Amino acid sequence: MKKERTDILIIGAGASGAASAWNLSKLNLKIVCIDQGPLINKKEYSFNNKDREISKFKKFNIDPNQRKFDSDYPINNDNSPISISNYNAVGGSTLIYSGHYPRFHPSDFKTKEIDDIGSNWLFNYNDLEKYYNLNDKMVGVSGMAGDPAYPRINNLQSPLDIGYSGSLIARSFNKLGWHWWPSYAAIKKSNKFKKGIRPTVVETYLNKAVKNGVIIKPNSRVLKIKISKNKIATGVIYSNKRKEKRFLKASLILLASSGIGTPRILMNSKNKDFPNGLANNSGQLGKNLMLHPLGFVEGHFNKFLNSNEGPEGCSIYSHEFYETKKKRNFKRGYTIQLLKSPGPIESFHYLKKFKKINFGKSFFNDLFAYYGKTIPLAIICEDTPNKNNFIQLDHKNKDSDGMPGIKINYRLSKNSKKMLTHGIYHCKKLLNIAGAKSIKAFGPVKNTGWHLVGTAKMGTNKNNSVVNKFGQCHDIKNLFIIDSSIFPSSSGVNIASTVQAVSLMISDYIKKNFKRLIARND
Amino acid sequence: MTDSKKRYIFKNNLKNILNNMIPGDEFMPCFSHAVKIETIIKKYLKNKLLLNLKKKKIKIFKKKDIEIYQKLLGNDILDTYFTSNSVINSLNLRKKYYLKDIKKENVFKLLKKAKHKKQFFRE
Repeated sequence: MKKERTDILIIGAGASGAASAWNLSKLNLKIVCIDQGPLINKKEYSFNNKDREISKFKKFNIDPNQRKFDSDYPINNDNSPISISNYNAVGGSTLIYSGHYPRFHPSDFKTKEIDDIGSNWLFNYNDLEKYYNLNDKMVGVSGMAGDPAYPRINNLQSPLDIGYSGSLIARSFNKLGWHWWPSYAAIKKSNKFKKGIRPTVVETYLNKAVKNGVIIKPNSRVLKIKISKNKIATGVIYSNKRKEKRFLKASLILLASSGIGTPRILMNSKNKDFPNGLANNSGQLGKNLMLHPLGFVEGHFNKFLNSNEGPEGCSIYSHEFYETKKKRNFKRGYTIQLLKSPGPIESFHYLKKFKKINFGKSFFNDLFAYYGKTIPLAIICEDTPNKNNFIQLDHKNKDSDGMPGIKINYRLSKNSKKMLTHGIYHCKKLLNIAGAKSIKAFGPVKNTGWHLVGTAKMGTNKNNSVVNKFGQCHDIKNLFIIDSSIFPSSSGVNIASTVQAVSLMISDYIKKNFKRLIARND
Repeated sequence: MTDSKKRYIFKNNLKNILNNMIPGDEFMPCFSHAVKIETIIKKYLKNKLLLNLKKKKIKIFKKKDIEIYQKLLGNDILDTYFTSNSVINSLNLRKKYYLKDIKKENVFKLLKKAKHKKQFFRE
């Protein structure tokens, strides 16, 4: 087997891996960032492509089981009401994400302490604020300062246009006296493109890291992390595009493969010392999976609202029901997001499903009775950790390298169900005030397992957790996890901003302590 | 019948079907005004389900046949139609027409009217 060597190896070139790759690239070290997916031309995944609506169902389908690319691994969702969505390529899921970019609330870091539910983090909002700010600057986050739902956030770029539907819903929020605010988005306002320009981590971090000398290895799947007798990670065995196996020796390894990809690699790396998965003496690996159950409420209006235009994700949001209130029958809360309605092709397929459209004379009448006339709202519920929600290796379904896939075992908690019911009721109220002539609602929505959290949680000691506050594995000192697997709680917002801020914080720690961390290997 | 004659008949029949499926309205063009039929022909010329269309010019299609054609061509023609420049322009014109009487308030004005507390989050 051919051997290679690097100082730092980052497994995964998505949101977290890219941020750390850039941050560590300032060190005078050899850094390799490896990814199982390909490097895709920027022109292919732009949100402003004419064929964006089509590619969403083909090359850029969110469901790995439908894509079935060589770079994907099978995910068995049979035992879960929510199925996993991801994208395996250099840039990861940021190639297809909506770019909605809120931060966690200060309370999200201490839910156990203040609400007696979930788990506390080992650091707080103030500790992370510096990294949120740095990340906002790198990404170019747009939004509006002064949001009462957050501590002051400065240096935001001009907020995106909230559109006609945003304006209508904002008026309804005002009538009800509920909180709302223009969305934070990793999207730059553009006069040319209505959706704005949404960079991915390839543009915001990886290209800069490459300029500083970081080597990106696409189409290279890590099969196993190897460790020495004294429990130090020595490197990885990976398979390249030609399915040749290589050994890549590394002094320090950072895992950045998402809340299911990371535990999958660790589970596949089990050995005599770690029979239940690498770095899993605590038995916590793969457990406490959190997914953000999502409710969907759609109001149908008589007039054209152009709701099909605007940012791909959320244009305005509300945190009226985000924090715990005694009078409610659940703890913690949720975000209400105003989404973009589908374009003409997606509208057609949606109507076809309900037999409300046909080709022929009535084609445009049927289509334009729906297209641009609906306002969709999403309810993003905070999920709480539960050891019975877990992932495991699926030996029946294997990837193109013969490695076992993943099986998801997940149930909605009573708390989440109550939260969803509450959210749906209040979104209906909001849409009624806005003048909706009919409303559809359901939840949890199946294909919404985007935010994969908690499967290698951080904690105070090796008995209750996989990593410490710096993402360092308790059991293997030169192995770090820098993605959302380590989050002890999920919050009720999209996680990309926090994933990257945490990754920057951990890589800062590694930068400051690199020599000491390496010395332990000897 | 020569190949070019067959192709000519096929093109006319296909055009007829596609314009029947997407006939256009006051803003939107019919299919053949938005997309060159030639781009569709290439893909379907050898399709066995469409063999009839090469034989003779068909003026009125049977309902059963139309259903088959719609099933076969539906996704492709939707994708090509709605990504054509003339349809994108028509959608924009349509949008401008329907939005001319709809009020869009400035976000700053809307926020001024909001009854927000000074601090909403918990420390």
